[in-house]
Parts: sequence; structure tokens; C-alpha cells
Amino acid sequence: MHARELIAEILRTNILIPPGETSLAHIEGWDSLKGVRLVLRLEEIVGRELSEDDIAKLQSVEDVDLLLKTA
Amino acid sequence: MTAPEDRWVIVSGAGGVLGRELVSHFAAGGRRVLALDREFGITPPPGVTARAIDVLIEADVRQALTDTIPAGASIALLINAVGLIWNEPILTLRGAKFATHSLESWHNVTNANLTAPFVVATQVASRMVRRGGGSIINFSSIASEGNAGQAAYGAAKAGIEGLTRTMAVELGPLGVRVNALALGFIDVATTRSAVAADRLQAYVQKTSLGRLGRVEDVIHAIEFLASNTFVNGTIVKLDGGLRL
Repeated sequence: MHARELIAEILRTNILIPPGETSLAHIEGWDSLKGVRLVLRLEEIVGRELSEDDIAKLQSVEDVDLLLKTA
Repeated sequence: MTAPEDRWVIVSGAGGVLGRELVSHFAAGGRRVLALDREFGITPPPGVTARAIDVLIEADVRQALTDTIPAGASIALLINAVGLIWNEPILTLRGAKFATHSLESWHNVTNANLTAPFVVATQVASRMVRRGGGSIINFSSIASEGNAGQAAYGAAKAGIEGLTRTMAVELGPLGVRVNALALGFIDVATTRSAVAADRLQAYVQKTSLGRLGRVEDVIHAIEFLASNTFVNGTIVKLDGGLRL
């Protein structure tokens, strides 16, 4: 799964998620609750609990992609 | 996949009359139960882990969860039964002077009926979201609609209904359902000590079913809310039709 696909799933939207370095906070409809859902979905996908350090690094779409590649 | 009986049930207010009945019910069904309260008048049933803590203290609640529930284990159900019935009028006459509702008792009652369940629910929810979701059942009262002599209690119970709906909206997407029971008069010792016998009889006469609620009625409602996975943010009124 790619970050843009995962983010769209979390937002329950069909809007085009901007690629790369776009900050998650700047995506339309993003809020702290979506952030929690993102962390929980990522934990399911990568099969481990994310550390606070992992979570702190999740700032952009690209960061989500980097984490997904560790799965 | 974890078998349902391996998932924990937590009861706050477990030392109270109703709380003890709920703990016994779930323990008898083979569930793992963590009972939380300031004190336990009687020894909990076998298999129940009882922790005597002040559930207003977030760190103590967190510690009790960490100490009792293994890291990989999940919590299926929180029955958030902590609370305190309180009767005190807004204004009363003491001799020839007006006296107002004590601010101290206001804080005590809102702490016991709103802040304490909030603390337990938030700590438990943070465990539930990472372990397959779960169900939280808060305890409201028909006093949330307004009841003379119960300003603090009624306000706290109205607050718990708002908290329930808000938690349902926020936590539903994370797999945690949050509902509440709004209890009428249940036939337990705390009701009989809080309400004078003649007044209680008057309530029974006004109730379309003509009786007080039974502990089994509460248990059936809890089983429904815990098992029906499409119920979320609902306040189930359990008053026998008193407020129709």
C-alpha cells in the first residue's frame, strides 16, 4: 500500500492526495483524530507498535511512504 | 484471534452495590475482570483482580491497567459504574437564612460522576484502540433531564451523556463504541438509602411497569450494549417508563 492510498482511506475521501513532501497537516480534512487513525493503521500494516520517535517523524506524505517501506 | 473470554472486562465503581453485582456476573461467566474502586467492602469473587485506587488519579488508573493486564492482552468492555448519588437543593432555609448548595459537595459529586468516569474511560480507550477495539458503557441517570434536589448529580449525569456521545464520535473510527445507560430507580440498597420509602413508592406508582428496576435489567442492558456492534453513542433509558 502507498501512503496516498492509505491517507485517502483514513480521510474516507476520493480527493487526490498531494504527493511527496506535502505536510499531512496541510491536507484538506486532516486533524489530530486522523493522525491517531494513521498511527493505528500503520501499526497494523507494519505489524508492530510505533515508537514515539517513529510517530514524531510522520510529518509528510513521504514520511508515511518511508515507514510503509519498512513493512 | 483472541477468544472473547480471554478479553478483559473492567468495572469501575466495583465496590458499590451495583458494581459488585456486575463483577460477580462477569466473573461467573468466566471473564477476566479487573475491579476498580477506592475500597471493597467484601472480598471479590475468585478470578477477579481488585485494585483499591482513587480513580480520579490518572496515574493510578494507568498503573492499575499496566500492572494487571498483560501488554498483549485486550480489553473487551469497560463498565464505568463509578458514581455517587447526592441530594442537595439549590436553595434551602437554615433557620431564617437562605443557604445555597455547597460548592464543596458540587465538586465532590461532579468529580465522582463525571471526572472519574472520564479518567477511567480515556485510559482504557487508549489501550482498546491498540488492541482490537472494545466497548465502553457509562452510567447516566434519568436525573440528567432535571430532578429537584439533584443539581450536581443531574448536571454531572447530563455531562456524562455529552461525554458519551463525543467519545462515540471520536473513538468509533478507532473501533471503540461508547454508550450509556440512564438508570431510573433500581432496587438496590443505595437507592433505598437515598430516596425515602414513601417517595420511592410514589415513583413506582408513576412508573408504567409498576415496579423498580432489577439488577438483572441492568445486566441485560449491558449485555446488549456490549454485544451489538452497531450501537454507538446511544443513551439507553432504563426506567420502566417513569419519564414518559
